Amino acid sequence: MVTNAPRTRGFNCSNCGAAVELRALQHTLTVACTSCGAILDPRDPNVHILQTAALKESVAPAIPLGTRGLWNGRMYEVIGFQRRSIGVELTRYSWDEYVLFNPYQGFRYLSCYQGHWNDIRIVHELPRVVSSKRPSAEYASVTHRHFQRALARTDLVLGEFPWRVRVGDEVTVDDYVAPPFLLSSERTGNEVTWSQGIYTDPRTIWQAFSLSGSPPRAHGVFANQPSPYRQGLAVAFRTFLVLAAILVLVLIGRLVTATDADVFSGNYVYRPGSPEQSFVTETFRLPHAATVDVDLSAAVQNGWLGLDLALINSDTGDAWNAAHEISYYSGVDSDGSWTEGSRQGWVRLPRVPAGEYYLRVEPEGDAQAAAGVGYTIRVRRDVPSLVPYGLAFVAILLPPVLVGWRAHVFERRRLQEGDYGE
Amino acid sequence: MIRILYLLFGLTVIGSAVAADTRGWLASAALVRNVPRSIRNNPGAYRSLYNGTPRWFGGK
Amino acid sequence: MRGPAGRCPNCGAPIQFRWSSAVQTVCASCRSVVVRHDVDLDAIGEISDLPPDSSPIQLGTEGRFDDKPFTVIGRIVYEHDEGGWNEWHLAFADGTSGWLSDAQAEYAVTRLTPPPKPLPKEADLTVGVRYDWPDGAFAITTLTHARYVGVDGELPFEYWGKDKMWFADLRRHDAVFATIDYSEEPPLLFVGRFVEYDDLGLRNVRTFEGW
Repeated sequence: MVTNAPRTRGFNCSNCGAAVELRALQHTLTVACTSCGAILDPRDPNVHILQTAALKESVAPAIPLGTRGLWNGRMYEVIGFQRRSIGVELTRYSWDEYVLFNPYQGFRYLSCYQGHWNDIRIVHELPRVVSSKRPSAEYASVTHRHFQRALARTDLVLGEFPWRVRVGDEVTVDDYVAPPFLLSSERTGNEVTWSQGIYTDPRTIWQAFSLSGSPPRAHGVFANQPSPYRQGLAVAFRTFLVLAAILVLVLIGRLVTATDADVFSGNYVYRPGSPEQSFVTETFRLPHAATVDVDLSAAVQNGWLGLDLALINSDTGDAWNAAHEISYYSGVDSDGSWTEGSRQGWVRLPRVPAGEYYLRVEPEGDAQAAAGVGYTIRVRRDVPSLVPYGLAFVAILLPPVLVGWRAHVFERRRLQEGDYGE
Repeated sequence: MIRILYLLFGLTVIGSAVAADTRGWLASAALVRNVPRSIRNNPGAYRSLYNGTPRWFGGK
Repeated sequence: MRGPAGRCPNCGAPIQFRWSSAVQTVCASCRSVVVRHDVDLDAIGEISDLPPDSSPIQLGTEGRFDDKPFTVIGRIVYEHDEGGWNEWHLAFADGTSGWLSDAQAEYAVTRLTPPPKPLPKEADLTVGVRYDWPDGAFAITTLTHARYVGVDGELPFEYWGKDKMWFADLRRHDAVFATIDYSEEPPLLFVGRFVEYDDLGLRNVRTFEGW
């Protein structure tokens, strides 16, 4: 006949006499007295002390032992707590683990490191481990990438565990991540236990177990913490493609519909020496309001030609002024032949109203032009410019680049915590 | 939400590009008003912004 | 499938085998272990009370596995250095038998399977060694040295006072699970898979005070 175990059995700690509760029915293999920390064997009628561990600090687990809560659709009771740590150089980094129990569902665990919480279950499938510079472990069709290998030491134990626990126990832990999942293997000797954790918002834990106050704030980036930028980056990129497509279509539309017509053209020669160089061109018509481009070319050779231009509306008397200097030098030296400058020039005037126009031109050149410099002035209207569209492209590229940068920084901070950071 | 803001930003930028192109916002040209018709006969009298005063006064 | 009925050779109480292939059962009245040889029933000893434990499963629990209904009709309790577990004997509706192992509320259902290749010898057992069977690549994950601490209900073979024996657990890269039981010669292979409590749709389970 099997006896039904009562809800909580209890006995007195052989070390300090304090009352010790047993909540995990008959599953408890190890129980640590919450008053003095001594580890006891609950199966031994004499309650043999397995390990005397003085509690060095008064530790109050964030979720008190004995708390019950609705977790994952079932009632669980917190029955055990342990604090473990790993050593990196000379510093120890600690985290807390809580043992949750339900008589039908069994055991599961909650872990907390610097405010980052994980909901952990033992897994039974044997993950497929692929060795490489950065190994990976595949479980449930998810590839987890190796994050860290460390020796985890048990520093503090309170309450009940369904397995053997001693303060000072050390296991080799390998963590593999695929945010929000964390796949861990714990190895003692030849035996390996695999578990998978899911990154959990502590507010759901506080609510499930009716804990007062707010959960402690999380510091830094945790191994399997999902990136808050991941979704934003995908959205930003898709939106960028939409905008880029619109930009290209608009640009093509503009190139196709732009008039780009010659309005006036004239050839001239500049001869220095005349007292008055300025002249005016014949009038020409601009049928529609449009931007005006003035293309210049001059046959300078090792010299320069400056052109002072004014586009004057003969009806309204408005004048748009611009100037351009064309210079071109060439020669041969020890490195070979060289050139500097260009024989072509270009001036763009903003949108001017339709009407009758003429140019007032004042050329100026250097003394080299004694023989006379030939030059051409060509006036065109409604010529599309690519520069504004280039700037627009850079501008719409900025937001996804910004989000991508922040996502990258987040991932770098994540890797810093493991074996693969800088 | 961010998506809509980004779209609006992008469309504004594209619209500005078209305006800058068709209206020559990126062109710099100083505007002088009320140039008299007499300049057509006497181009030298035009007070160019770049040269300041006309070069040749003639005379002694 | 109901088996034959008879009377307990020790105390005379009625005994009904719920499963036709049962070889052994425990008399509910006097705790005698009763073995069936064709028509005759022999009492071969008494079983002491089983240690208290926390398995939610009990004799008479019903459930489904792969859409096949079963009833829990027997039980073996094992113990080893790091704890213990239960092997619940399942009688499926089609008359076949299976095992539901329950270790700290982690469940697996297996069936006796003819080995596809010769099984490793007990002396050769090492954790981590892989076996490429037709079903896939299995690796030994656990070696357990355990002994019986008790039996109950109907079992397909005689279990009585055996010493410690070895069990090798093997796993594949999915939920498939296998155990080699070295209590007999040749060793027995059981193949099945891990299941969640909810997957079994269990009814008539044990209730726990406060839960």
